[in-house]
Amino acid sequence: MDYYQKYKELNRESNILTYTGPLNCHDVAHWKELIERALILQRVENKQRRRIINILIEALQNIHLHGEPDINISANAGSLCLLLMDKQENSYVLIFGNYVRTESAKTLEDRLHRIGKLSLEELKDHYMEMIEKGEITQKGGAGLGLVKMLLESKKNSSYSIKSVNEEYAFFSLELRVSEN
Amino acid sequence: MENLILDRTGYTPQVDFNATTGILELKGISIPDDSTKFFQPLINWMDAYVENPAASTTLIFKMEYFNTSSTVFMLRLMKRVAKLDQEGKKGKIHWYHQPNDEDFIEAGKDFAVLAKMHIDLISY
Repeated sequence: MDYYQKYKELNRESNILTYTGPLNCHDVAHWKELIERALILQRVENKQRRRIINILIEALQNIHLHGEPDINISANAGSLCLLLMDKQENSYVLIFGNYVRTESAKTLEDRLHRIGKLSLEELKDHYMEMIEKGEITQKGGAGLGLVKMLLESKKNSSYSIKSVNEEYAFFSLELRVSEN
Repeated sequence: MENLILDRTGYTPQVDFNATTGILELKGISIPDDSTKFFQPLINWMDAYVENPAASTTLIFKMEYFNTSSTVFMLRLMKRVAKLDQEGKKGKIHWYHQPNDEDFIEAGKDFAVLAKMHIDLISY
């Protein structure tokens, strides 16, 4: 194995973070601290930084609450997580990935399709309605993470759900946070 | 009734709810993955407090980050203060934000709409 080549592939000039591995509940605060520090060092202005961190928090909590462990290892080490962060000109691109059960993937795709059709204003109205309804899931979330992430990226987002086998699919979500 | 005081953690804010002065403050970050576990004791405390509140009540938020599930519970706290105010028991909400932090200011305004109450937006 050419590890130097591997290092160069990962350490692209634009890349800020590449991580793949398990994610536990304690990791959310850890990643938040780490990324925030990196953004401060890069002098990212407050508004853009807050949006990036808000996305990070919601994405990682979604993975922690709804993701599945690495199906190849089948160890109970927490949800498997893919986390990539790149800087492209004045934008930051965040990519998250995790395994989901096939039945959850269908629900997820329906939901993304439904909210994807909403304009930014309609999405904000939907968010406000859901907050007012105030429903909390059994796992303690509000079921609003995806909506919040789309709002923070101003809908500069795309996703893919790739079937891995009969039982699992791999869900990935890409969000871009521009300067304004 | 006893005051409710909780230290800040990496996931949850500092809580300083003073039943005598009526100053109820949350400060820091609120990103617990199980928000019910953290916020339900605060809601319970508040429900007991509104039975015999101080002469005036000020709910203060000095937040850095908060997740969507915390938003739901923060609104529940605000609605209780709004109800106090509607009953003539002097309720106020202060929402602190960094200067020119448009998103945070907007979040404060959104809360005002949802809580159906004026919220003082304070730059610090």
